[in-house]
Order: sequence, then C-alpha cells, then structure tokens
Amino acid sequence: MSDQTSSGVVKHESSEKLDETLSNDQDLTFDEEFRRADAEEEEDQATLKRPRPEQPEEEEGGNQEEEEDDDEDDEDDEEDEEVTGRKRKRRRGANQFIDIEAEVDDEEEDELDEDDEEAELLREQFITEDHAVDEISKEHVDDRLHRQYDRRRQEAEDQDAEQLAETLKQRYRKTHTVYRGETATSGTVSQKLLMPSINDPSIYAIRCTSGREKDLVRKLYEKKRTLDRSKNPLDILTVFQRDAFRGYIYIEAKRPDAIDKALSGMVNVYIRDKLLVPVKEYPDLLKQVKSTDVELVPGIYVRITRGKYKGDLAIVDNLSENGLDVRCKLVPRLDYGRNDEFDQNGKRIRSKVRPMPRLFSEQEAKMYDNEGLVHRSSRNYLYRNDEYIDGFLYKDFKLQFVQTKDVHPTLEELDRFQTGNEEDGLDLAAIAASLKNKNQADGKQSTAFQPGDKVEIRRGEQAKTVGIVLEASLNEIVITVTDSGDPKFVNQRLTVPPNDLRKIFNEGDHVRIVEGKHFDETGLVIKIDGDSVVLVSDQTREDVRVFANYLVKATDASTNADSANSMYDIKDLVELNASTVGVIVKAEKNIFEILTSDGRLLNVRPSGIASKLKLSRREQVATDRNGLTIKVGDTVRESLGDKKREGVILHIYKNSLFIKSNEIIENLGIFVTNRMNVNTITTKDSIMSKNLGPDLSSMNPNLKLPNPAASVTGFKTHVGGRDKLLYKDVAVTSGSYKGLKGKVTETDDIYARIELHTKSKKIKVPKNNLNVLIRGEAVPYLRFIGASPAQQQQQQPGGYNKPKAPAFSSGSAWNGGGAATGAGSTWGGGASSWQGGKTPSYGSASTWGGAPGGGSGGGASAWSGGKTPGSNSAWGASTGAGDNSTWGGSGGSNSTWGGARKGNNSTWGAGADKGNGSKWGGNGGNSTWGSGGGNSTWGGN
Amino acid sequence: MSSRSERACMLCGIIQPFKKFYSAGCPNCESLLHYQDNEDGQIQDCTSPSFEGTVALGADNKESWVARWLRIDSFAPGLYAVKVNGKLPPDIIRDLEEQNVIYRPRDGSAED
Repeated sequence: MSDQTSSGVVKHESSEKLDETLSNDQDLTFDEEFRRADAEEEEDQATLKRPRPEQPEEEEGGNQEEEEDDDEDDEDDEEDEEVTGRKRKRRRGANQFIDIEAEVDDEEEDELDEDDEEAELLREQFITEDHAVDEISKEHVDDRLHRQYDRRRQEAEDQDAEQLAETLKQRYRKTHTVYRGETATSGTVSQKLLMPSINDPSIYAIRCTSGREKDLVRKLYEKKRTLDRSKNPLDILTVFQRDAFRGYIYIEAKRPDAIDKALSGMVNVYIRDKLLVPVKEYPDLLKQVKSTDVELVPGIYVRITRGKYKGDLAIVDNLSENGLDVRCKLVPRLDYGRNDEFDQNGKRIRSKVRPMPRLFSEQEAKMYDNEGLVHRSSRNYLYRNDEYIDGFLYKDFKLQFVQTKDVHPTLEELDRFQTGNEEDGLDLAAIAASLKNKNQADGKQSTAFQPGDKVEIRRGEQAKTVGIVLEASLNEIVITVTDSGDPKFVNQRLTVPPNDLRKIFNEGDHVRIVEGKHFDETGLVIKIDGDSVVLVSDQTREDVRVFANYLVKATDASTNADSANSMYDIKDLVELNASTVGVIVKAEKNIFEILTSDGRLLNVRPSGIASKLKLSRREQVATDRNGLTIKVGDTVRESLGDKKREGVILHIYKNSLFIKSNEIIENLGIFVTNRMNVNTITTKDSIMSKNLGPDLSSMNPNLKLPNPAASVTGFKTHVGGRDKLLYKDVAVTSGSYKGLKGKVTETDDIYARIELHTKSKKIKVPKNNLNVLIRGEAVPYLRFIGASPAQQQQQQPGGYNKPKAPAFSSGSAWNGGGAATGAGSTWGGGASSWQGGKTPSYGSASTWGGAPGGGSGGGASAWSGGKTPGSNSAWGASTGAGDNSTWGGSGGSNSTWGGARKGNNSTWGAGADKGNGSKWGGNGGNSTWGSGGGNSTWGGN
Repeated sequence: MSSRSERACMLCGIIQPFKKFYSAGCPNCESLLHYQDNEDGQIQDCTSPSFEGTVALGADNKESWVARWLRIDSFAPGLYAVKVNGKLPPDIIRDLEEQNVIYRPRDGSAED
C-alpha cells in the first residue's frame, strides 16, 4: 500500500511540476510542447518501472512469454525496446525528481485517500523547499492542467483497451494456432505422413555416462537457450533421451560439426562415439509405446514399488479416469496395532515390523483396534481409511509407484489371492502379461512350446481350437489344427501368439516343470484344472500345482538338480551332523539322497546338510587289510561278503571307504565298506593291468612262505600295494632309450612308464631295463626292489649278479623241479656258493664240500655248514633219516642225495669209478647226473 | 533439479515443475487449459507426474523432424516428454473439441 500511495503522491507532484513549467514559460509554446513530450515520456517510463523487478524471474523461467505480465503492460513492453538509454540519461540530468515521480499508476490515482493526502502534503513541503519560488503561480494554472491531464489519460485508457483487446486476440490466436493450421501439432495430420525422409535433419546417437542422460539433455537445452541470444547459436535442433536407451543421448542436427560444437566442454558425454541413426529407425526412437510395455488394464498383476506394500503383488482393480491412479487389490499387511508400543507420554509408536500378508479379519480389527473400523456392508469394511472387501485391501496407488514389468508372480503369492471360490481361478493371461519379457535380462528367453505339443487356443475367434505345435518361435507358434468347431479349419495351419495358447495334458502324462519354483521337477499329472495342472512330483512325492504352460512332456525322471545354485553336488562327501557323514548319491530339487558311512540311505533336504566335507588328498589315506596304503582313486576289492564288489575309492572317511563300482547300479554304483574289508587291486597310478582276475598266486599256500624264486626271477615283484618304483628317478639301461633318465609315472607288473627328463615324452620300458637312481647312484632294478633281506646278505659276497651267471644256476628249471622241497631259499643260497665254487677246485673255496675226502654224512654237514642256518633243516632232514647222502665223494664213493627215506638213492657226482653216475633221487625214480662224465640224467619223478 | 515435482502437460507434453504450472501456466496450452492460479485441481488433472523421454526443443524448431513427429513443432521452446502417462479428463477433451483442438493422447494410445 505504501508503494501505491507514494506513487500516487508522486503522480500529483509530477503534474504540479508540469504546472510550474507551464506557468514559467507560458509564451514559449515550443518549449511547452517539448516539456510535455518529456512528461509523456516520463509516463511511459513510469509504466515501465513495474515490470522491471519481474525481469529476473522471467529469465529464470527462460521460456516465459509476455503473458506473464499484466494486460496493460503488454503494449508498453513492446515499446520497451524503443526507449533508449540516452533519453533516460538526459532526463535524469534535467530533473532529479522525475525518476521518483515516474512511479505513476493510472488505476491508483483515483484511490487516493486521506492518508495519501497527508503524505502528499509532506512531500509537497519537502519539494517546495527547493522550488519555493514556483508556488505563487501554482493555483490558477491548476485547473487547466488537470483537464489536460485527464484528457490525456482518457486517451491512454482508450488506447489501452484497444491494445488490450488486440493483445488478447493476439495471444489467443497464438496459442490456438499452435493447435490449428498446417502444423503437425494440430493432430489432423496422420502420423504416417510425418514419417521421416532423407531430407530431414540427421539424428546422432552419442554415448554418455549411463544415468546422466536427462541431465545432459537439460544442460544442452540451457546451453542452446543461452547461446541463442549470442552471436553464434548452436546449430542443433533437438536433443532427446529415452529411458529405454540407456547410455545414449540423441541430437538432431543438420550438420555433424554442430554436434561437436554443442558438446564441447560437456562432461559425461563421449563425443567420439557418435553414431548416425538410420532414417528408418527414427520412429522407433520416439515410439510412445515400447513393445516391452505392459498395458495397464484391470486384472493384470503388478508390484507396488513404494511404501508398506513395497514388493508385494497386487491385482489392478481399476484405473482412475486420467490413468494416473491405480486401484489395486492386495493382501493387506495388518497387525491391527498389536505390536505398537507406547512411549511414556502414552503416545503410540507404530511398530516398524512389517506384518505378514494376511487377509483382513474383522474379529481381530474389532478386538485390537475397534476405533478405526467402519462396517459398511456385509463384507466391506473401512479400516483406518482403507477399504477392505472380502478381506482384500483395495487401495489407490500412484501410477509411478506401480511396477508393471518383470512382475513374476509366484504361485505362492497367487495362492494368497485365491479365496477358494473356483470360478475366478487364475488368470493366465494376466500372468502371461506379467511374465512378458522376463527372461530378456538373462538372455535366455525361451518359449515353453515345443513342436509336438498339444495345445488349445484360449481366446479369440479360434478359441477352443485344438492343435499340435509345428514350429515355435519366440513370438509366434505355428500349429496344425486337429480339432475345431469349424471342420474346414482342421489340418489347417494357424499362427498364434504364445500367450493365446494353453498346453493340453492328460491325466497320467509324465511331465517336467520348466518354469518357476518347482523348476526341473518331474511328475505325473493327476488332475487338470483349467489352466493349471496338479501333478505328483517324482522327487518330493507331493502335489504340485503349476500352470500348464510351465510343463513339458518328459520321458525320464529328473535326476539333475540345479547345480548352478546348489551348494552340493552329486558324489560330494557331506556332513549331516557330528556323527553322520555320507555321500550324495542322488540330488534333486530340494532333496538329496545320502549314503551314510554306516551304509544307510537318507533323504535329506539341503538345509539338513551341515556342510560339505572337503578333505585334502593327504587326509584321505587309509590302509587296506594287508596294511597297504590306499588312497582316493585306488581300485580295491572287497575281501568279504559274497559279491566281492570292487571299485574305485571315491572318498575315505575314517574307516569307511566310499567306493564307486561300475558293476552295481543302485545308489549310482556307490557302496560303502570298511577299510579292513578290502584288498588293493591297483593303485591309481599304475597302468591298468589286464589281469584283473583273481590273483592265482595269492591262492598258492606256498606263497605264505617267503618265496625266494619270486624275487630272484623278478617277475613277481609287484605283490600288492604301491609300486616302489613310482616317482623314482631312473635311467634306462638298454633299448633305444638307453642312457636316458626320467621319472616313473606309472607301472604295471612288467613295464614302467617313464617321463623323460630330456624331452617331454613318456616311454614304456620293461622294468628290468631300469637303473634306479638313489642319491645319484644307479641301482639296478632288480636289486632295487630287492628280495628278502637274508638273500641280500648272501648275495653280496657271491657273484650272483654277474650277468654271465651260468645256465646251471639260473634256477628256474632247477627250482621248478625243486619246488617240492621247501628249502628253496637255502638252496638258492647254496647255489651261489656253488657257482662260486664252480671253479676247478670243486667246493674247496666254499664251505660246501668242506671235506674233500669227506665221508658220507660229513658232506652233508659241510654243506649245511653254510652261512644260512635255516638251510640245515631241509638238508639235514634228508640226511637225518640216517640215510647216507653223499656228495662228491672224492674217493670214488657214490654220493647219494635225496629222499633217502623212500629208499631211493640219489647219487651225485663222480662215482667211485672216475666219477660216473651221480644220481638224484626222485620218488623212486633214479636220477643220475654226470655219470662218468658221460650222461647225466636228472630228475624224473 | 528434482524430477519428482515435475509434471508434464498431457496436451502439449511440456515438462515443468508443478509450481511453474501454477505460477505461470503452460506456455502452449494456457489459453485452453488455464493452469495458472487454478486451484481446482486442473494441474493435477491435466498434467502427469509420470512421463518418459526428455526432448529439448529450441526456438528454431520448424525444421526439426523430431518436433514434427512428436507434434510439438509449433510450441514454445522447452523440455518435452516423449510419452506422458495419463489422459485428459473427458470433459476437458470435450471442451477442446468445441474449440476445434484435437487431443491426441501422449500415452501411446493415439492411433491413426
């Protein structure tokens, strides 16, 4: 108000000023005219004053038009530009009051009241101090000037009205024309006619930081608006961004260099990645409806994205008129204030715990929180300003807080919406819509329909038509009609969108679930219930209700589990509790079958498994019943039981071995046994022996005794257990690889596989051709594996190992014959000394035949006088019978040897007569040897 | 720049903060929809807080295909939405028809 008053006062003042001037220079008409003009301008400026403070605001808005200003100011605004600073300056110099006085407002002039007049008086006094002289002539010119002024004001008002009408006309025309006429805006032009042509400006896609697209568009807009007023405006036409195309902004420009210019100095944008969009793709860039969009219609499933029901599934009940509010039906989450707490002032603190979704219960509401409850009709309640019908909450949500894409309702959630009344069942179409596009994120979009599936068309003209799928692609399915209401359709091909199809199954079909929570379970269809199918799962033995389209026919029972998501895999050793450990022999969806270490089979849910046991190879070591080391990977055979199962060790846990057999079927071929119950057959690193059959030699009772022959011959070196030769450094002693060194990687009875040090190659070499390198010393293989310790003792003095061992001593034949005696070892020992003594002095060098002229019996003792005491028994036994056993008697006496008990003589060596006839006694058979230097017969039985 | 308070005019698609609609109206549709100082919920009814796609339209928009395609080629410079969810209330549409203004919904439901 004060503003107005002062301006009103000033107005008067200005007229007085005029009066002054007039009274002073009455005759100078030109001057008067000039002054008047000046005053008029003053007025112009006065009106100008008001809009000025608003100017900054206008700039803020950026795109504000003149409409913002008062009607009266419109014309003045236009004249605004014409007022030059020069004029203003001059006026200022002419009269210091004029600027103040210029605060003129036509309207306010009439509204002067007493207050104003007082103020006026004050002002007058103030002014008159300067111009006291002028006061005298003031009175009599007053009237005329007033009239003059009134007239002028009237004119101005008339003009204003005209102008106002014109402005309004202008403005309305302006805004209306944007919706009329030839422009595209006037909706009269079909979108098709607006299709882009090559003459249209180019659109470039420019990479930018994802998430900054809108920012960039705004910034570019500001930049363009700012530079539009400068000398070199940006040459770009539009900039835009779509949420569907993340990481790009699009600029429409006629020349590409305009884009570089526009983007110079901008951050978050990568000018280098500039892409010219093909003209035919323009409309796609600006499509209003994306194919991925789900049309919001009543009945579809959505999710709420904000608030208490965030993440909850809802069914769209209705849409507000303008489509901005969505009325949703959901399962309420209410605790009826039960969990609320009260602070010391008795103020209610709402519980932060989110209640479980449950249908609205009138009783509970009454019991706990009656004040908020309004009963409307039988099943309709208003509780805390929310409406509940049939227990469901009906609530309006803002469109932007409702998520229509990627809804993925689970059957569990859908079940909550089931009120038990059958007719409103599950709306498959709604589910299909909510599932639309769901797999695109993980890139494995697939259709549940496969060629051969029997399907029914659910809706449309062809509803109820039954057919068989011929081809299935993502968005269309080709079917051959097998049954239709209209016979002419039969055997026709139809292309149908997958959403309109329902799979048909019969009771008893074996199916596999391909979607959802029960993914990959198989089962038997027991009931068909509209769009859903009830089946008994093969795995859980429970009834499962699934949508028909989530099923495919299956021929096999499911054995594969969701290995990617499961912590446990088949054959894993797992711990169920402190005392139970087992191996998973069957893994299914949510259920594992476990063979425990005590041989039981348990069905366990994943939650029942405490952990997976991870034992290192070093930990998984045991010994078999023979005390030989067994490790994971070794092949063992049960030594007890009637089946004598054998297999490869999978896991070793304490005394239990989990063994995988190829011969048994149950439990994946895995059985469990005690380590004391198995024999090693082969170790992991041995070359698989062909001879996996029973080891005959082990059945030979004689082998219970140490068998010297075995070690001597070197053919039966591998009694069992790990081959000593494994991983030893060896040198090859003969063959084409002679001289090369390597490491043994695998062995069998005869051969060793050697990895050569020189080049990366594995060769197979007979073991006998190897020298084992022990601490740099080459030890021949046979010696390396050694025989019994006793033998080794004897071997050392003797030249046994000399390669030129005489045929005579190479005892296989000998021993073979002599196998009847158990004295093999001592004999062998004797053999060496014999050989040693094969030199002319027969036995003189050795202890044998220590009495060259020895009598009978003495020879025997001498013989047995060998270093091995054990030899006595055998030899001595034969002699101890009182029979003579003579050998090499020099005196020409017969030397008899052998089982004298049987009465057979065995004579050896030179007979009395020049060394004829030496006999060796078999059982009753004579064997003569070297008789008379002539024939020597030996052995027969 | 909080986008939460921003709304898009359902008729022309311009994006402005709610306050601006109230204080200054819509630069294109003011004569038709009278947003300015309108307290009868006109802004709530005829503008939408849910929109997608931002187009910066400059003053020299006559040659722009984008502007023509979106039918904003005769509008004032500003930021426009490609898609505006929601439709004008039927009575407003009727009023517009009386003034020979064709309303093409910008929510993707327009067909030709």
